Amino acid sequence: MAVDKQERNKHYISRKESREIAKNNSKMIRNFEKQKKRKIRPEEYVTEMKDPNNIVEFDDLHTFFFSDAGTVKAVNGVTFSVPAGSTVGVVGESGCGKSVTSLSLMQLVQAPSGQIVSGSIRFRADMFKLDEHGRKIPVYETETDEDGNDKLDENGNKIYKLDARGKKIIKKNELGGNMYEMEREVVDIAKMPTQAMRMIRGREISMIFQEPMTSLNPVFTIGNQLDEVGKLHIEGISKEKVKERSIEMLNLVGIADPEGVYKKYPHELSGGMRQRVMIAIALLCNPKLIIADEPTTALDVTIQAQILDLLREIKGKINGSIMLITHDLGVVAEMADYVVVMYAGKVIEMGTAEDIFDRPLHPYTIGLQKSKPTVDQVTDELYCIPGFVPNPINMPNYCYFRDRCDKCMEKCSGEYPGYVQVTPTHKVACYLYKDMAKEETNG
Amino acid sequence: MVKYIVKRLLLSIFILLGVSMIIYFIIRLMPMDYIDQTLGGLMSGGSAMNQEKIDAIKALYGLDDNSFGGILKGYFGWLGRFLKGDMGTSYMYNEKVEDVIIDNMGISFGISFVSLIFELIIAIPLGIKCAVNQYGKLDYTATVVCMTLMAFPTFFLGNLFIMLFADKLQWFDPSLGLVSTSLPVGTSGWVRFWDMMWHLVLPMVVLVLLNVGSYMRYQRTNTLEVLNADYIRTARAKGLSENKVIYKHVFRNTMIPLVTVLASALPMLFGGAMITETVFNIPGIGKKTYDALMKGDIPLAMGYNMFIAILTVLGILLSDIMYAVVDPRVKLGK
Repeated sequence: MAVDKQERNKHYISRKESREIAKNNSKMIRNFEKQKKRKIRPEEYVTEMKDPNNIVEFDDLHTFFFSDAGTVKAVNGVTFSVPAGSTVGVVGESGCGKSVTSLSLMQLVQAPSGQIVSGSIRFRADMFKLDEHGRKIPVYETETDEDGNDKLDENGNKIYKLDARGKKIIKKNELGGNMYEMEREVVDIAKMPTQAMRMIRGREISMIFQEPMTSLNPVFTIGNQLDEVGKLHIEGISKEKVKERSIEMLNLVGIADPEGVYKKYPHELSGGMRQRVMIAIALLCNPKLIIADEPTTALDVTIQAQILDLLREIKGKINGSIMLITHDLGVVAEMADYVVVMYAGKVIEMGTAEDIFDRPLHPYTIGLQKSKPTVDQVTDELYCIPGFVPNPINMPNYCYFRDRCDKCMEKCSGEYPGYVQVTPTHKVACYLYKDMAKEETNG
Repeated sequence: MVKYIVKRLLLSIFILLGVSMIIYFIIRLMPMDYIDQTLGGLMSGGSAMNQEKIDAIKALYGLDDNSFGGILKGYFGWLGRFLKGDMGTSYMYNEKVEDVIIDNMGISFGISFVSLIFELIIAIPLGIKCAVNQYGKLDYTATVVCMTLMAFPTFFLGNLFIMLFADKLQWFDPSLGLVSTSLPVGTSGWVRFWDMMWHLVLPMVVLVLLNVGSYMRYQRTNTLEVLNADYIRTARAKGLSENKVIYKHVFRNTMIPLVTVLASALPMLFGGAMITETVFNIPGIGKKTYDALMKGDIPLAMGYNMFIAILTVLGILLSDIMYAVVDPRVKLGK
């Protein structure tokens, strides 16, 4: 009887508790918002990469939502990295914090309730070099000799080309915009002010969302929404050039009649077409990283395959990286070089695609694999992991998967398991492999 | 589009017929008609007026037979003249109905139009600001103030303002009306114009205060809804500045419900603010018809109500058309 009552009270928040939660929330939110509004100097967020081959490093990232029911630890200490030029798949059930991880990377977590609480997201960005007045430094056209080297005058200075009015001509970059001096900087997005983040969004990192049906603004034409990005990020580009670039992008993503689609409104296109448009928007400024947040979930199977092919093709063309978020293991197997498996806001296993698919270790990963329909096996019923993802409020400090795990041991009631490095590329957070690792180190 | 509009206009004929019939019956069913009200007092005084004479006058006005058939007959009589373009002569003002409406509409339109402009200028930016800083200080303050103002009845707030600003503080002419009594009769031009403007400040302020709340809340709710849309996240992911996100992507989408509300404000714009005009004693169409209604002046009441009904029908049609203009997803069918 008493147990029953306790059980029932678990999901019930008393008025006192609710008041406490609200008080705590408003305090926390106020602090974080104040932190954001304060003027942040570049020195505070410029850092160094742990591994220079990486383009993004998540380091112990915590993103919480301060909700009325309590603090939701959507991302609770996530650490992984995206090596340059690779595709990283992030897998997990719904509500595991996959999307919030990617939104944190874009600083798009729904404020004020959602906040990056601690940790860092290091990103290797090409930032504009600024002069002492805080202005961008343009690169000018110079006179060159036959070999393409700069001609120098008697003082050893470069000779600049001049236009009709005697002004120096700014060099054009490959997108047709003005060229400025750039510098490679590693920034911590978790600490970066939104102002500076806007230079990265759309230009260095772009995002493809889950819902192509609602991700385009219904009242503007496709052309308008594409041009917007070009006008914003490619400085000094002419209107015609922007349009040219937009149509080129529509062509690139395999839209048959780019000029026609350019003039259309989103509601006149199908879901697959809209997702292509979203990809075109994402590609417009040659980003270094594309975040694809379940890009194929809302599409039917044939279109899914086409979109995945497109993403793969494009990755080769722009020479960037892709962070692919999905719950579809098939998609990950097909696309990813590295796989990160998330469960309840934590990374529970990560490794190369072969590691995860050929030698899955964590019982959750094994369960996920088993629950995938396969052609070569005859089964009456599809396997399903029993239970649900736990309520992310007031999470206990033991392995979150314990209650659903078929290999649960006595040890599992202990504190949250640390990572076990099984092979140089393969890490797992489970007690099953703790001993194995110990044996290895002992032996 | 043309086909759609024509179809809607044809349909509205039936609506107007129904409306006119209902209004006519209601007015005729009022317990006191015009003759009773103006001549009834004379009878008790022991004068030459007696019931037979009153009945004769009633028959002359066509108000004698209050049975269903009689009212119906009266209605069709009115309808026949109306369709010929004759709206009749107002009992009370002894002028043609259309003249009464047209002569008094200007001032009412002026007050309503200027108030509406101010309402929108205040409500729309404020609504957006409140939505962007949801549950912030500004949001709470604006909500409380707007709700309080919305809760006031017009006559109460109007009289409160008269008492405060006209009687106590003497900022405005306490005798109300449209022009000061102290103004010499022959005065015209700018002096008269400014005097009129001065008299219109208080009623306009009252109108703005009373209506700004609902527009503000409406804009706030719409903005909040759009702010949570996926395409706003897309706009932010593009790297657009917050101002551009809000004033281009959000605002353009909140305009869709806004224009429909504005288009349906059309009858209010021409119809006058009846209570405000009465409280401030402004001889606009609202006050004129209020007096006429109280007296049972059937031609003017019918004329005014038909005028409002036509404006309402046109307003709704206009809002449908505006819908198609601002929202590319809406196409007007056949």
